[in-house]
Formats: sequence, C-alpha cells, structure tokens
Amino acid sequence: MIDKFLDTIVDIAQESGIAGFLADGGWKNLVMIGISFIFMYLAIGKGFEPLLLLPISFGMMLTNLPFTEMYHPDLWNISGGASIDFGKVLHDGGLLDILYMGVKLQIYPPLIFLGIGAMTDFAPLIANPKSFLLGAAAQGGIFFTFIGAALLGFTAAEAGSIAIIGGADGPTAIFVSSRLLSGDGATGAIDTGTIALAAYTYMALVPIIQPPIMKALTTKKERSVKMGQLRPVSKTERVIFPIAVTIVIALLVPSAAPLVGMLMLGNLLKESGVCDRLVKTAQNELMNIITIFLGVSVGATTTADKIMNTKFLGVIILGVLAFCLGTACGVLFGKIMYIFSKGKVNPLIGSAGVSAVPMAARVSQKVGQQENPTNYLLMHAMGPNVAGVIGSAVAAGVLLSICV
Amino acid sequence: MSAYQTILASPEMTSSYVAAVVITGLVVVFACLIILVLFLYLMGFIFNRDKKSKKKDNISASGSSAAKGQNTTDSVGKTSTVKSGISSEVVAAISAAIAMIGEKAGKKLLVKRITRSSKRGVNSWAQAGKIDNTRPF
Repeated sequence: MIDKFLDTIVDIAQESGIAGFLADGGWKNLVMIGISFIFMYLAIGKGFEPLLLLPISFGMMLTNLPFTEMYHPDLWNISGGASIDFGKVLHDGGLLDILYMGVKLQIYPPLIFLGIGAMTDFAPLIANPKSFLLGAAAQGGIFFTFIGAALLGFTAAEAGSIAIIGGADGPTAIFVSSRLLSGDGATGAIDTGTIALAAYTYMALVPIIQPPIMKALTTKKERSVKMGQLRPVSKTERVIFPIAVTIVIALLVPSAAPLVGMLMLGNLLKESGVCDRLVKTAQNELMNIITIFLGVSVGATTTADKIMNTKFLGVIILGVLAFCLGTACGVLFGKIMYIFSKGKVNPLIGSAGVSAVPMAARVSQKVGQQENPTNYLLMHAMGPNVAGVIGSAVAAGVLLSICV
Repeated sequence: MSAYQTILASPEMTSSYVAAVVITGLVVVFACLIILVLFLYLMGFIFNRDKKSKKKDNISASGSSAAKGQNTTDSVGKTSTVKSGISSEVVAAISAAIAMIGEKAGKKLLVKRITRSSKRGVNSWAQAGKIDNTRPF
C-alpha cells in the first residue's frame, strides 16, 4: 500500500516540470524564465512596448516551462531546403504551434499592417512629399547592418533577418525573418522569435538610443530650426494616396505587396469615410487579437537553445547597430536637406525615418523642444515616420527578393 | 528581376554579393520612394491649382460685387453672424461640442444657425413640469 503510494508520488514527481528543470540542460529553462520575468517587468513596470513585449515574455515563460507541450521546436526546425510539414503541426502540435502557423505562413504581420493603416494619418507625408526621402535614407541602417552580419559569419538569410531590425518595425521584421529563416539559408541558429525579441526591445528603447546620436550629428543652430506650417490635404488626395502607393510599390517590388497592400487597404478604409465598422474592427478587435496571437507565439519560439548562444549575442549587437545606423542615416540626410533648403528643414525629423511609429516622431519633437521650447516638430516628423513604414516594407521586399 | 537572379546565383557571402545587396537595396528603396515623391508633387500641384483657381474666382466675384456697391458678405461672414444675443464664444463652444459628438470620419458638420428654443424668462424646468402635468393619461 505504502509502496504503491510512494511509486505514484515518484511518478508524479518525475513527470512534473520541476523534474524537467533538474534534467540535463534544464537550468537553461530556468534562466530563460528569469529573462522572461525581466521583459515582463520592462513591459509592466517601465511601459516598454507593453502590448507586444508582455505577450512575448509570457510566451517565453510558457515555452520554457518543462513538459507543457504547448510549443514543439522540432516541428519547426528545418534546414537545408526542407519544408515545414503543416499537416504534422496540426496533428501533433500544441496550442502555440497552431498559433505560430500564422507567423510562418506570413498571415499576422500583414493583418497588423491593416490595423496600422487604419490608424495612420498620412496627411503630413502627402503635404510634404520630401519626407519620403528621409524615410528612404533611414533604411540605410538595414543595408549597412547587412555588411556587419556578413562579417560576423551569418548566412545571407540570417543577415537579411538581422538587418531588417534596423527598419524599427516589428511586423516587418517578423514577416521577413519568418520567410527567410524557412528557406535554404536557414541554419537553425536563430529564429523569428530571436529577431522579434531584439526588434521590439530596441523599439522600446528608441527614446534612449536616438537622442545622443541626433545631438552628436547636429548643431544647436540646426536643432533650433522652426519649420513652416504644412498645407491642408484634401479628402481626394487622402483617398488617392493609398491606391497609388499600392500600385507603385506592388509593381516595382512585388514581394512587398502583402505588407504595403494591407497597410494601404487599412488606410483607404479609414480615409474613404464609408467603412466605419470595418475601420473600427481593423483598429481594435482584429489588431488586438492578432497582436495577442503574434506576441505569445513569437515568444514561444524563444527556447533556451535559441537564446543562450553566441549567435544571439551577435543578433543583439547587430540589432542596436542597425538602429543607430538607421537613425544616423536619417539625420545625415536631414542635414543635406537642411543645406539644400537653405535652413528650412530641421535635420532632427530625419531620425523619425526609422519606422517605430509614433515613438521616433515624438523623440524628434522632444529633442527639438529641448533647444527651443516653442518649436513643434511633431507633425513634420510624422511625415518621415510614416514614410519609414512604407520604406521598411519596400526594404523588406528587396531583402526577400535577394536573400531567399 | 534579372539582377536579383544574378545575385541569387551566388550562394556564398562574398564581398561582391554583400556590396550588391547593399547597393541594390538602397537604390530600389530610393527609386520607389522618389517615384512616390514625384507622384505626390504632381497630385499636390493638380489639387492646389484647382483650389487656387477657385479662390481667384471667388475673389474676382466678390471684388466685382463690391465695385457695384452692393452690401454683401461672404459665406464665412454669414455663418459667423451672431443673433439673439448669443456671443461668438458660445457659438464656437456649441459647434465644437456638436462636432465632437456628431462628426464622423470624412464628414464635416457646419453649424449654420443657433437660436433659443424657449422665450427668455421661461424656465426650462417649469416647462418640463408643465408638459408633465398636461400630458394625457
């Protein structure tokens, strides 16, 4: 009787997660759970990108709790040109495997872009089309980081996935990495979760990363420039804009069409003024549901073996380099525009060319106001900011065309 | 696409491949966005030209009527006319409140007239009581 009782207790103990921690390499899971707590603190305590960082960190915790069977890395670990067996995922996968299919099939990022489009006002960009150039210049961070990734020995697919962090756009980074890291160039050393974690962490740190670079590259006189008022934009222009952008981008870079197309569909729904119900759904319910699915499933991919290796350290270093280079490229192009416009353009708005809407634009406003409290750069910075979203989507399309 | 395929043919991360990725990427991004810049300038030019010509027409029309000595006011003047002793600040506040509640995306509300619904001296509470007492069973 007592023997049977003890055997049962032993069986339960051996099948419990605690035994998993004591198994070979189990300590790594404990460390990962500790890291997830840090991210939870940053999200809840510090308010760093909480809408995504919190689901990601919780997904990280769930996947590192032994024997939960919610996510199975072996179903997704493919290399050497093999393809994912989605039938097996559906049959053998856990809840987070099923949700992760939306990432691997590139469904979530375009749907998030639909919501972003429904929330974005492109009027500052339409009123000042030159902003597009700042949005393009800031994408330099992506491509120059590609060089750094190549020097650190990453494959083309991995280098492209890391470089896109410089776009400062989470959905775009997930979209690109999920496709590139499923192809021939995938070694399994880094995953979409790794890229997403780095991207969202740095996006949350934009107010800390950008100002020193902006101040170092500009003079007090340049930072004090007050920009003229933007012209009003008619409804017709607002309606034509998303249609025209979709056609132009889809024709020139077809692989960017899913992101740009959905972004512009959301914006067209908003600007048309006749689809209130759809706009509300895209802005709220759909966006929130996808954000939860995306966050928790991407977080689930951050298993100990993916994070606790030297490759992840490389991703972290290159990620911050990408952000810094993107900011610097934007500000430097802003300085060029300052010279050509004979001092009418404040170079600080160039840093908003990295996407990170609207955080990067707020940083431009804040740094500008530090020099001149009566200077309001926010609307001027929103132009390059939303141009950066389009620019990073185009850059994503280019990387997908070249690196797949 | 042929340029891309040429690059794809090289599986190694050679310096030429990396340089090609960087240059191609920057050129394509700038080319796409420059095309959009030109398009937006063209669109802005067309729409601003229409607006300017309409403005000119309005100015010339008002100028000719003024020359005839007619006492006319423009549309803005008509809408901002204050009647019944209601100050312009009150009109602005009511307009803003109505706009906040009733305005929908793409539609703009215009308050043309604000008039008192009850005569001066008649308390609205008294009126409500009167209605309540005289309502048929």
